[in-house]
Amino acid sequence: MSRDPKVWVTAIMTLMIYSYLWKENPAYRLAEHVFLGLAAAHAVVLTWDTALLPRIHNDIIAQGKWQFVLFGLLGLLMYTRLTSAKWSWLSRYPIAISVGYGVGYSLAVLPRPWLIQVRNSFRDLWVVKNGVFQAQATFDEWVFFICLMTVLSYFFFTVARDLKFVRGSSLIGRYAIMVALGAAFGNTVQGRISLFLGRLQYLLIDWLGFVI
Amino acid sequence: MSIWERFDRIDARWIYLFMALALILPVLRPIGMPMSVNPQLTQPFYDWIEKELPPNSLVIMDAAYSGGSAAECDPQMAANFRHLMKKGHKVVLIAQWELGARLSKNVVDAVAREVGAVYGRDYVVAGWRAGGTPWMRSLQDDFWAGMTGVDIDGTSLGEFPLMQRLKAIKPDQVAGIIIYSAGSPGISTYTQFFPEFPLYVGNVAVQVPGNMPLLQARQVLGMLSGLRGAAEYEKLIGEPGRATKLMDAQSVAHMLIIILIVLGNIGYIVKNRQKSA
Repeated sequence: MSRDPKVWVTAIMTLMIYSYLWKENPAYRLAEHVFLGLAAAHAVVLTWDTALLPRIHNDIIAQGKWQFVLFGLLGLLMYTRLTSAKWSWLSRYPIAISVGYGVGYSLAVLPRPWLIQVRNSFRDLWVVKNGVFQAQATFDEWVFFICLMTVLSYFFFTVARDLKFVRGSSLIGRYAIMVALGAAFGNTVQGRISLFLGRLQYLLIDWLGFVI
Repeated sequence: MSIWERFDRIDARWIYLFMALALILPVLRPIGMPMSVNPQLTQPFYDWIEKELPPNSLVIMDAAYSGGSAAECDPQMAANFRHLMKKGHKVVLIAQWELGARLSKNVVDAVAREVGAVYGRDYVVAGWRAGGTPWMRSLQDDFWAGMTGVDIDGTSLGEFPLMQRLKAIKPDQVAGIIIYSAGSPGISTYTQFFPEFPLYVGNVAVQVPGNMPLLQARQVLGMLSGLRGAAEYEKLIGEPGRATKLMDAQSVAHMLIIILIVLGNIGYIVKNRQKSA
């Protein structure tokens, strides 16, 4: 069994969190609040140590990049939201700048990744490699093509569903979506079990000292 | 009361208990179940580092995860980092998530001690900075300025020989990017702003189906899926670690869930038939 107090604290906190599986209890709530407080404090300290102080020392004082002071002051205007209505309107300026920057940036760069995927959806439905017909690859491409078209038809709302072709197509699309959701659920189960296994190995190996 | 009605009313805590046993017993007494390597996800990742990276390449690693997903991402990072160090490549680690910075440093420091990698010469942990995507974008222009000139512990980047090779994240300085992602910000930062780089992903399993279109479109060239992906990578590099040891437990738990789902559906059908009879 570990003699490191840090390991003990971690192990006990883990057990406190897992106690929720039995029922809601004060130990769980205490661990939850401690975690939230620590995470917030960690972010503040990290920002202060690795972003603000080096920016002041290295950029502003050492290199004379005084524009950082201007933008720092602009950022501080965000906190006027916490003051009276007389001053809180000032917070709109840094928000307006950051929103404008974000929207402009997104419009400039966001379409590209999606368009690459749209381009990738145009597939060769008769796959020949080095002069040899590839049956498996051709089958895969047809499955992809049929799923893509039928799922799109499922979300195509301008044509009435009473048309037989549209109804059949959207039904296949619905099954394709169900298969995808099943795959997602399976991966979610895998992920959740992995997380528990991570805690389990900590408790068994690091805390209790089992040799596996 | 029939057995199916009993199943229907079973206290969820019994299922937790069965699940805990299904996980604990194989961890304590491994069965040694066989494990295959995914040819679409894991194999290309391994091949890239093993065969395609030019000698002495510099790779950026990004720890975009926190404690909640460390069980999946830590073993992935450990296996990749071990492989990169053994092949003589260099790594600069950044983090889009603040907790990821410290977690990942613990991971790579532990591996570095085992393989004899030297901090500053073979790898540097630059860490996390506030600023989100604009901060990441700034690293393309001036990495040192974006990192405020210091590493995660506040040591000047000028003290590390490795950092003389990295002035900006540009293709002439960086051979590729590996991101360990548990959510947002994460992979999209690179598909949007760094499309010119070979991008490889260590993913939490939950995200894998959603990211498959990226793999299909070759925006991502290889992917590790959760703890299973880490175990596969450990197998490929011939160094089974903790992920490999936990795979038996993972498989047994999956079997239990499959059995429970099948039983649940049989019960549902039987109950409906009894009602309609």
